[in-house]
Amino acid sequence: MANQPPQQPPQQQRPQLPQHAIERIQAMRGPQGQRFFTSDLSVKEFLLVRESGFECAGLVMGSSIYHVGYQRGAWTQNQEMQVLTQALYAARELAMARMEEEAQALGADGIIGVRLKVNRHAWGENLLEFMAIGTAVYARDGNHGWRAPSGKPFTSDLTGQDFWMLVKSGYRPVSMVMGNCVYHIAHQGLGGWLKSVGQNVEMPNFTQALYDARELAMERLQYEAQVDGASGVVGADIYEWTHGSWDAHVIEFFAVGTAVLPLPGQEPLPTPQLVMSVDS
Amino acid sequence: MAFTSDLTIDELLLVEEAGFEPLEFVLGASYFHIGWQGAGWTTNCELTDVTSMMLGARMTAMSRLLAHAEKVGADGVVGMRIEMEREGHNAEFTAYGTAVRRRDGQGAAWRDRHGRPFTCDLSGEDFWGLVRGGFRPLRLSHGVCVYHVAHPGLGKALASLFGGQAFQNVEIPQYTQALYDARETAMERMQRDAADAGGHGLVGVDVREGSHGWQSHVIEFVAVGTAITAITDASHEVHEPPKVVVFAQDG
Amino acid sequence: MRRFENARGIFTSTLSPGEQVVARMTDLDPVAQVMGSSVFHVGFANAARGWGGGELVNLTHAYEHARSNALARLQEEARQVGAHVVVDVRFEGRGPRWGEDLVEFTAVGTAVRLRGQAPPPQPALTLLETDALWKLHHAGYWPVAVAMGNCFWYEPHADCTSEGSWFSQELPTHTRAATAARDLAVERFRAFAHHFGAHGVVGVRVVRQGRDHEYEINDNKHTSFHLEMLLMGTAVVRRSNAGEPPRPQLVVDLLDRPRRSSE
Repeated sequence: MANQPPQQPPQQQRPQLPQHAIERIQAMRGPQGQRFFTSDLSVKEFLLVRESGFECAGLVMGSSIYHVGYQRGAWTQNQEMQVLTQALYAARELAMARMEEEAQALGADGIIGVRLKVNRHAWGENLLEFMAIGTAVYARDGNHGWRAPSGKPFTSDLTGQDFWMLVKSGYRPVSMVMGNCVYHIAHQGLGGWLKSVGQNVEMPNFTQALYDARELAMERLQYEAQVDGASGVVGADIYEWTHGSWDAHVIEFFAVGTAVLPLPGQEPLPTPQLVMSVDS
Repeated sequence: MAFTSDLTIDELLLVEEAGFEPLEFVLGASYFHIGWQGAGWTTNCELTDVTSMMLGARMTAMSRLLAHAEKVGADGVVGMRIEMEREGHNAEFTAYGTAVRRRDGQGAAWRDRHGRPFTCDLSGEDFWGLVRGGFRPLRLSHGVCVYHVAHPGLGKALASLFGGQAFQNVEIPQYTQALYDARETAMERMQRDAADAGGHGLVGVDVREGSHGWQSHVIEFVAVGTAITAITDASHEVHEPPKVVVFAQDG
Repeated sequence: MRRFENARGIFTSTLSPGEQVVARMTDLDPVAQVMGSSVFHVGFANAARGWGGGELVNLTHAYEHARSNALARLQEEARQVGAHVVVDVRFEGRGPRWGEDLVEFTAVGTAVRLRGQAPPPQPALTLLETDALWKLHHAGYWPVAVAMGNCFWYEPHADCTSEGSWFSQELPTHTRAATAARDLAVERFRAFAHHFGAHGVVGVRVVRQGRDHEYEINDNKHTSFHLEMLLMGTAVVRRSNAGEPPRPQLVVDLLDRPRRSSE
């Protein structure tokens, strides 16, 4: 089992943004002192983000449409399908990079509430659209220290509420980190299956495979966090699914979370008060 | 004159706390026949007739709701939503909401730049929160783009990139470009709508995409958001930082 | 009528735990599940067909009477158990399909008593659930009745000109029908509320069902438009002994909200 994280995709050129996107960003930037912002934050999130000392710069997004082909796998082995792993990783990275590009064009210090979506369109078989969308924000006091150690705007999938609570608890978001693994789980062969019909028994083949695949995804997520200079990851979650027309034994495990660094000088959180909602 | 409203009791209390009283449950409807617009197979292009009809139908429903609201003396409409129901080639658009009026008689300061009642899709709770935070809603802004995506055949598209290897995992720039254009166009139009109302920003933006059932390769993007601006009244109360609580039950 | 206490006085309840707390805090005791039914025969439901269109008066009245009668019988059951108010009133009913001439409605709800107070001559009715009722009470109001306004409208020649058309255009006949039906339903709704001396109507719900129906006369194809419009809500009055409504306070709960998900 390869424990090495996959090769980083080759350094992309600064991704070109479509003309319309550039126009919209310019319109939002506006003449000096007259910014027009768009955000998909809810009202509560909007108010909490302001409370944390930030203003909304605008809604930013990036997308890429990938043709995701197939990679043959041996039917008797549990193994990672590395070509597919790389492809899906690269597709998401491209979408995120375009989103970050829009944020930089806005002069933002960070992006909050990032959602990574995968869309399948009826007219495209084997075509997947990867979309990253979030709200770019900037610090009201002009302090660029909120940016990631690399100097780029921070990214995070935290909601406005979670962002406010993270800051209050003494941490700041650095980057949204991902790790993925496309795994083929070996068929047991009909004979092996028939033997276990009617018994409550663990299927060690499958169990082991799922363990391995999840571990790989998480490891890669942690590696990314390290590379970005973070000291921890919050809100890590793992999703699993099969894409479109893949064989049901091929699953992608996708781990995502927000890498964080400590924020010195925060007052401690007040003791929470217990309440009970009377809504049914 | 009795008030009518579709707000919950919580929302009613919060709307009153924000300084408004409910007037009437208002609605506006429009019925449209959705035409068909042809497009060349190999071009990415907007179906401008269909776009303007999908936007126009919504605006018609909304303006009828506004007329109803103005008739009862409203300063704004809270909890507005526009629903669409399709039957074959006909579509019905209905706008619903609760018209409200400022209690201190300063209602004119709350209307949009053209003096019409404000509209927003905010719940009573969000409306109160927004006002308390020093902002006011102006208009539920819309932007629509109905787009036809070129379909020369995937094989050809790939061939033009790499010599036709169907197993390639690779980005397809034409499609990416098409969807970018369509989404951005819808959002740009929504922004313009918001600026026209006098807004300085938009919250709660949602970009919905749907396929047009009877035509393949056609996607409709509808961007909706509430345009807001800061309350400039110096006597307006400034909110305190929120108090942290934990609910004793799930969900 | 189903009572919640069995012979030994043991209390069974359909209330959720939250509602139980509210019930305890506010002296509201659930007493019984009550209901009322009514079946109406519609005379000449399709009488409007063939002429210029307009309201299907017989159908409107049949539905209105069926619902009102069902509510009246539900109210009578509640009165018999000494209830103060019936909460969570819902209609279950079957309307006619084309060809049948019967319409049936059943109203169900939970009869509730205010502990330690004598019951009124007629219990109030409300579409609200117990917790909403408590908030309403706290806000200084009390329900009186379920206000309704309905209208059936028929347009015999809708959509004839745009059939098969390639252009997008508004359908003025449909719009006129919808506006007319709405105006009539709203007028009746307000009259209902006024009749009970209400200061307001809360929790308004609207049900609209429109249907295009194609038919042929003398080898000519026509499309008719049939629309039902119904408005319902709880008519409320201000309580004379109402105090100040509670003031809300902004809070943030630490529980995770459903995260914006990555897919």
